[in-house]
Formats: sequence, structure tokens, C-alpha cells
Amino acid sequence: MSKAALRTDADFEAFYERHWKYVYRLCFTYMKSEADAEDCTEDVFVKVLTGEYAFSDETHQRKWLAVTAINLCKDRLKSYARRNVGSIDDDMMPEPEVPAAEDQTDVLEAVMALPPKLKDVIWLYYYEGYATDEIARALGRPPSTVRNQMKDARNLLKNTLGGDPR
Amino acid sequence: MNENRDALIRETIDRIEPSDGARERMLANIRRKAERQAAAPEGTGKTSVSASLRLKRWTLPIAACLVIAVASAAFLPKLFHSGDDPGLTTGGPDLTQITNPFVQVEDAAAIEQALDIRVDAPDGAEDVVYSVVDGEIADISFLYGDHGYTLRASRQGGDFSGLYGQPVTEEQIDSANDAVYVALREGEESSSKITWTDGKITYVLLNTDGADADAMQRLYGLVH
Repeated sequence: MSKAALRTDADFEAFYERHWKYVYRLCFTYMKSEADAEDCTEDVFVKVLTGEYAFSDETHQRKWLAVTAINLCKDRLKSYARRNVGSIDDDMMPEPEVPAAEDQTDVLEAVMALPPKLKDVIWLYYYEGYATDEIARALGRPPSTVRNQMKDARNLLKNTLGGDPR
Repeated sequence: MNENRDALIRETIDRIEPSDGARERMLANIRRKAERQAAAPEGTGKTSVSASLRLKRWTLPIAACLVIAVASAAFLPKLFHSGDDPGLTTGGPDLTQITNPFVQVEDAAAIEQALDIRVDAPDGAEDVVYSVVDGEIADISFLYGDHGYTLRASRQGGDFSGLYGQPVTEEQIDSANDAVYVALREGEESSSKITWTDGKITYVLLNTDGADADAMQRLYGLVH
């Protein structure tokens, strides 16, 4: 019996149930397309299913999933760029599911418009609450680079988020 | 204000919803892809033929690499070393085997409770993050003005700043606390730190994104 068949059990389904939406949301902010986001999400969980990973706790799981998903999405975007495929053409993409309130539509579009390397730090810092040194280690960048990228991302988001949030 | 911004970003991302049926569709595809991946080396169809061609194409380069590796191991034993080396990774960090030494805590009070060390970011600091490192070091990272800083404190001795460059400038700036300013350089990276002590606890204020000596000393004046 193959390793994949052995891992297709209640434990994996419970793991998938806990994290699928989280991974999908992260992939969507990079890929900006439902189909590509689903594809990348699937690839993340295929890695879990076919790899020999041991997670110490829920936080460890989320961190591993976040970094794996980020790397997968960025590799996919690079391969699209190399093949000059139109998947990253915003005009061709379906509109994302966005909240009804216009200010949140702007927020989502602003976050999704960030360059991938800034999106990493935004996700891990603002969404996951990781310290900058943790982000630096996870992404393999110097802490000073992470802080500068956070500053750049904050400047880019400033026009949308402003200094007077609701 | 920053808490509202954080919450706004999180709430906005949380509102991204997959399409109907995505959960089941993806789960089915995951199983299919995993089965295909597991079956590929044993298959007899197109996949196995492609794998065979790829193997043939890479056989000579792989053999050459093996010869070089064996020769190096035989004649340059010091090139290889055993033991833990977090730099030996093949493609990104392997978070599965690394215990995270950073434990984020809520605020300065939590640090004081954990380590009996009273330390905090200066007034006006932004994006302040409080952590305890290895159970012994208080770590507070924050933005102040145009730069990011980290303030550490510990009862342990030695250099726990985390900076490893070559010192290029060293100057005592406050004899009362044995405060010393050091500018370092490692390759293209510049950094600086100010260390001082109250006799029991050692403090380090450090910067890695180009804050000048004046900025560092001004900040030292606010935090010590």
C-alpha cells in the first residue's frame, strides 16, 4: 500500500478541516485567482499528505503552512512570468469575493496589490502576529530587510488604511 | 490606531471566501495528486517514461558531482563537518525541526513577570513586539522614527545581541552605566548596538537598518 494511501485517514482530514480555508486565503492574496489559489492550496496539502512532517503544535502547523504556501505561490508566479502566461493579468481575473463595505474592498485590493515580497511580511506580521525576527528567520532574510519591507508595505497601504481607521 | 489597522487587515482577509464546493473539490484533488505522486515511480505509462528520460539526462552530471564530492571528502576533510548547522538547507527553512526560541508575550508587564526584568520600548515607539528568547532574554522590537530597533535585556553574561559583524567603531558614551556604542560591519550589512548594565542586568539596544550614532544615543537616553 502506498504511503499516500496510508496517510489518507481521519487525522489528515481533521488537519485539512482546520487549515484549508486559512491556506486558501493566503494563496488567494498571492494568486488573485480562485483556480490558482485552489491549485496552490491543494499542492500545500499534498506536501503534508506525502511528506514526513512532525508538527509540535497548532502554531507550528500554521507557520509551516504559511511559509510553504508562500513559497509555492511565489514559485508558481515566477513560472507564470517565465512562460508569459496570462494568469497574472488582473484584467482577466474574476472579481474576488470581497466584503460589502467599500473601505474593506479597498483594503483587500491594496493588500493584494502589494509585491509578493511585501505581502509575505504583511501576512506574517499583521495576520499571524509574528515578531520581525521570527519572520526574518522563516523567510531567510535579514531582520533589517524585514523591517524595511514592513515600512515599505506600510507606506504603500497608508493611502488606503490611512491614519484614521474606522 | 495600530491595533485597529491590524484588525482591519485580518478582518478583510478573513472575508475572502472560497467558492461553493471548494472544500470537497480540493480534498478530492489533493488525494488524486498524492496518489499520482506516489504511483509515478512504479507506473508504466507516459509518466514513468518521462521520468526515465529525465534520469538519463541527469546521470552524467550527477555522477560527476558524486566524484567531486568523494574526492573532496577524501582530500579535504575539514570542508565537511557534522553537527547542527542551520545554514545547510536545500530550499528554504525546515520549520518542522526547529524549535522556535522566541515566545511572544503581551507586554512589558509579561516580560517582568517572566524574567523579573523591567524594560520597555520608549514612548512614541510603534509596532512594539514583546518576546522572551530562550527563556532568558527579554526582546522588544519596535519602530522609532525612521528605523527599527531591538532592545534586549538579560541577567546572563556574554553577547546576546545577535549581531556578529566586525566592530569598526567603539566608544564609551556613559560611564555611569558602562554604556558602550559599537558600530559593526559584516559584508555589506552595517549594524550598531549600545550595551550597558545596572550591575545585575545587561541591556542591548541594537539597530540593523542604518540608524546613525546620534539616533542610537538619543534612543539610549530614552530607554536606559
